[in-house]
Amino acid sequence: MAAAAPSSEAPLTAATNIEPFFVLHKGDALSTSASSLPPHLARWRIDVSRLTSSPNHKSRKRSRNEAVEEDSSGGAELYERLRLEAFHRAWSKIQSTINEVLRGISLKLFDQVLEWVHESFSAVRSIARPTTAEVQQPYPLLTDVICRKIPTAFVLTKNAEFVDDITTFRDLAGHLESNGCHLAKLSAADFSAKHGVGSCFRSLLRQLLSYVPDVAHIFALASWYSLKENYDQPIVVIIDDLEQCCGDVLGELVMMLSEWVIKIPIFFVMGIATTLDAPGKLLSSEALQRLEPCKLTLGSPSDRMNALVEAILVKPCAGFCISHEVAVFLRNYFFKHDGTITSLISALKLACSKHFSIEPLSFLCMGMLEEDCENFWRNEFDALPQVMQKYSSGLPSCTREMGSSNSGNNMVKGLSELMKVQKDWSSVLLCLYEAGRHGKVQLLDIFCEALNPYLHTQKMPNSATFLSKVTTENLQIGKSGTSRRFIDQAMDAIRYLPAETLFHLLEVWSIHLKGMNEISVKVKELQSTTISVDSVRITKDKWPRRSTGSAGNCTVPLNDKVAMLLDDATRNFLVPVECLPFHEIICFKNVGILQSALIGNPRRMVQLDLLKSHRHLKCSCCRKNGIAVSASMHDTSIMCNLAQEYGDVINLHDWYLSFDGIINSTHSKVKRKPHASPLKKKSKPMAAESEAMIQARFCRAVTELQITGLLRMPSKRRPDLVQRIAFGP
Amino acid sequence: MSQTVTPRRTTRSSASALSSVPAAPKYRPKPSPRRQLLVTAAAGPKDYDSVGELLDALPCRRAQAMDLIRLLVPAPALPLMLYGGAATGKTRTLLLALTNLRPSQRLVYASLRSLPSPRALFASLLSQLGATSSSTFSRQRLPEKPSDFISALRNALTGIVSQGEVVYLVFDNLDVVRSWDKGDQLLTLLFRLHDLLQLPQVVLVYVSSATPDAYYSMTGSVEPNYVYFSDYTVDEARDILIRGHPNPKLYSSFLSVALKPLFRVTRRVDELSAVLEPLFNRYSEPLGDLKAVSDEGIKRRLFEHVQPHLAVALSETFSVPMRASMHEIKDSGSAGKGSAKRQLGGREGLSTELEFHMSMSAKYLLLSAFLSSRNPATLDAALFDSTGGSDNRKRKRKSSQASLDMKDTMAEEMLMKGPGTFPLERLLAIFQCITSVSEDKHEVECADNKEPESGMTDLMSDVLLQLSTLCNSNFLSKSRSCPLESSARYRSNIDEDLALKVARSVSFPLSKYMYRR
Repeated sequence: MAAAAPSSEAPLTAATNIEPFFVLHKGDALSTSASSLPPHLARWRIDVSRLTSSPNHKSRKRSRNEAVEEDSSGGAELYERLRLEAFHRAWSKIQSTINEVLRGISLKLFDQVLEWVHESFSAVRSIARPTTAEVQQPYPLLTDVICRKIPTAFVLTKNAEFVDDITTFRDLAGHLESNGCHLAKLSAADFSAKHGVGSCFRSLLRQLLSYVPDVAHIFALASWYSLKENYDQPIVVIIDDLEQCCGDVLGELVMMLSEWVIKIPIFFVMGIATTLDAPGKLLSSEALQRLEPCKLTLGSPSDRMNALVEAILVKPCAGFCISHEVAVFLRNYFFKHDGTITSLISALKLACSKHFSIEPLSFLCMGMLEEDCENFWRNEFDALPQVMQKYSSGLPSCTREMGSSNSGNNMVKGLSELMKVQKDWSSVLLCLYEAGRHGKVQLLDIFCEALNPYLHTQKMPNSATFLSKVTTENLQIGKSGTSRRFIDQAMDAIRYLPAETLFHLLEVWSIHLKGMNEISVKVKELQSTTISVDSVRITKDKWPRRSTGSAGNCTVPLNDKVAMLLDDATRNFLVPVECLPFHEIICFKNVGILQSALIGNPRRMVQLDLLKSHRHLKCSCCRKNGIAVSASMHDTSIMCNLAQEYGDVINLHDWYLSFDGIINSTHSKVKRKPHASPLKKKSKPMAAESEAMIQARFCRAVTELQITGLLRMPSKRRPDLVQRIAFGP
Repeated sequence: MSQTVTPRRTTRSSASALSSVPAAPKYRPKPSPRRQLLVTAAAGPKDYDSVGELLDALPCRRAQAMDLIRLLVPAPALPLMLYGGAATGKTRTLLLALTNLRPSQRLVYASLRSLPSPRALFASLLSQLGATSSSTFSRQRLPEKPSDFISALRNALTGIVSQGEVVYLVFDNLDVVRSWDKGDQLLTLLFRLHDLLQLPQVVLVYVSSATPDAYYSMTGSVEPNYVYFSDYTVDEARDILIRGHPNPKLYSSFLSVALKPLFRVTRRVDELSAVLEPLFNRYSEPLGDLKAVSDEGIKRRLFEHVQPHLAVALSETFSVPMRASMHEIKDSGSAGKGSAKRQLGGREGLSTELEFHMSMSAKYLLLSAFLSSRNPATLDAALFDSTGGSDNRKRKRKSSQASLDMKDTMAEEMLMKGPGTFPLERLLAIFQCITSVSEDKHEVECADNKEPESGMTDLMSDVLLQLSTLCNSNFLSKSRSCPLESSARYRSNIDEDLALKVARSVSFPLSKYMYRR
């Protein structure tokens, strides 16, 4: 049954391990679902194993020659393999870039933490430097310190969602440990009210000591710490999710350790997902008093997001990019739903794998990474079978642009052109972002706008001068909302920049625009004028009375010039990838697939599948009578269809009667077409369903509906009514 | 001074104990020159110097130290209990007295705060007595039952006592035990140790920050001698704080303005010193040279400089004293001079925007949770209708004005009770209403911005996931119940400030939906 699904869809779903949830399979249908998806899938999986062993270039060439001799299906297999290989290469490139970027961001924090640890350690040691014998004494050291406090770093992770920070704290632990701290990591599970402070302290000991005594008490820690090899390092305890800890237990631990902090320098690093109020709400004031807090912040998720977008999507990193729609979807998903880097990365991975599995020519992406890309593409194109060559010239983007002569040259040229334009696009986009940064514009927003093909085609005819454009733009914003909000915001930001930052901005631009001669020359010109303006201003500052007027006059046109330059560059070079020929090869556009994979909306899907079961099953019996409910359908499906006729409560008795009616009407039909559906095969031995059997099936169907979350069982107050939970078709 | 704060009970009980200490005078004259100390200390085996040192090390605890010396020096027959508020120097006085006066004695110290279970306590005591060494503890030899512990303890103690030594058993932080599981039993055991051991050379000392009344019901054993450690007065606190300060002159002028108002908030010296330290840094900020001679004019200027910070610290000491130091650290790390303004102005700046990232649907969910905790359920129909439309909301509200008045008292009651609980269904219903309303608005705002999907279904799709996120970050709390019946009730823990911040970040008119009396 499932094999009847459109063949192009099957490998996609299989490729990403996101398998559709079939409620409707019963009996033999289940057994086929395992074996029927697979002609593609099986091959796919085998390919994976083969490829990982020998993906080298020569064997590929040879196998291709063999493949040409084979029939077209063999060729398809070969290209599937090439695409898979391309995916692996592209994704590993992206993955390593991601890791690098994230590590770069968190390293800043790590170094801060380490610095803080060293500072606190020397502060504690400056109070007193107990001998090892003193450390082992059971009673506290008598010092002149009035209040014993545990240095505590609160690391604000700035994200209510915690997933991203698990790895951050793991890396932090590794970083501190490699820099000579004793390290223990406690999580919320250790701070359970049930087991109390004892178990939490025990797990602390277990991470530090090689031998944990039967009764965990602090003297074990003290005697361990007074060993020579342990003595000169601080102990850092990382608690990564403070909010989820049990406050009482944590408070007790704090009180307990604070008594010993001078003897055993033990510091806390606590991760806070929300606000600094969290420890205040969690801990008693007495325990709070024992903490000597210090605030450290991790880069906010949108900062990290910007860095990632810059590294992966703006700078051409793996020869893979996304279309405007996909970008907007990802952005909305990030802001509306998940807001974690983890989900962004998984969405990207999904997009990437989908792209390489859907787009037949996607393996050409690899050319972007090759040194001699034109040569690579030419070779690849010549090796393409006829069908695919035809396909390449039939891509919608290139039929739009050019004629059909010499498609091979066309493609190679088109792709190199694409690559070049893409590069310019990313440099200009980065310039825009540099400018927009001063106006608090996020890269992601600019990125989405820069990808928008409609905006590009819209603004092309508009060749008015900058000033008039600004005014018309202002009018437009009033009328039609936000067509080019963020890019304009970035340009606006330039006009209010002071001279120093403007100069700095130009410097950064000249780095970004290195490959683009025309603009970088203009930037150089502007830079030289800024310098002169600067020097003028400096000299004029000596006579402040005269300079006030003229200096103001000087800077305004300069700002405008810079803005004009950027606007120029934007108009000429900020060409969205979707406006270019052959962009389909490198650009993932299918937002629908991504959406259904990420935003599952499972309950709705279950309900839809139940209502339109024949669409999936494609059986002969149900299709004939179309919309009407027939007895050959699955029980649960029948029930679900029947439930549509009720409001938010369903009378069980009525429901049962109508179910009974439908089932019994079958048996007249059974004689007419005996082997139509698996259901009937099963029920064949029974001439007519017994009352008990129908009741049992009814109950089972109701339970299934309950489990899938479509209805709620009757309450005690109204035992004969069930409540519907899911509505709408 | 110390005479007035020492309660009568202490003196009476110590008087009864004094029968064995004949030479000690009960009260000392207030201005106590060292000559007279000599007389007092004559009872002790130590000479003049060590007592003087001891008293020097214990500022403002003279009376208590003298009491202790009197009670401790010939090994007392009765147990001893030191009590008084936190941070009044109980442990310090005791330890100093013990180590200074009798350096050779055996001191067995158990702070019940660092020993989180009776077993740990037993193990620690026995290992300190040398009965077992802590590293070679085996499961079998560790006493589990109190009776085993007592016999093991007695064995260990008799061995030492027979050599003529006096053993001091100190139980610190005794009040912690009261909150333990089966803490009563342990307390009874500890208080009865004197009767159980029957060893006159073993001196039991209990240190507690709770008054003896807290333990009365549990004992029935011999009553210990009490030493009360009173809270410090302002002057005493000043003396203690100024002690050992590198710049006493400036510090005393600072304390003269800052200590009194803060002393009204807290009397604990440790808290005071924690709050005063950053304040003093602020105070001395305008002075380039800290050793500069300060005249009245400078003092006045410094006071004006520190006054706003003082006001902040006053309100913060009360709630979360860590906050002030937090700003201090942050500010001193980033910028030196302009931080004063920023700290004060920054508080308003902080309150306008949300400091952390949350997804939009989580924000809406949080808002709907807040609303369903705040508003009485009966008003839901009036505030949100089935279409979630905001256009006819006004009309609806007007029509239900009468019923609003009727429900006033009930709603007031709800407000008094704090945030209410609500079932998941109500939360989801409100969530759907407010998201649909705001989505409509959003659509109007950016009509030509092509969104791939209407946002409402988007937001609804993984709402349970968001719910668990909110529960994890303590914004919502959930009552435990059967998961299949889904009758769990939730409660929102956030305050109105945070809710308003969240509402502002998604530009949702929260105040319109909030029911106020």
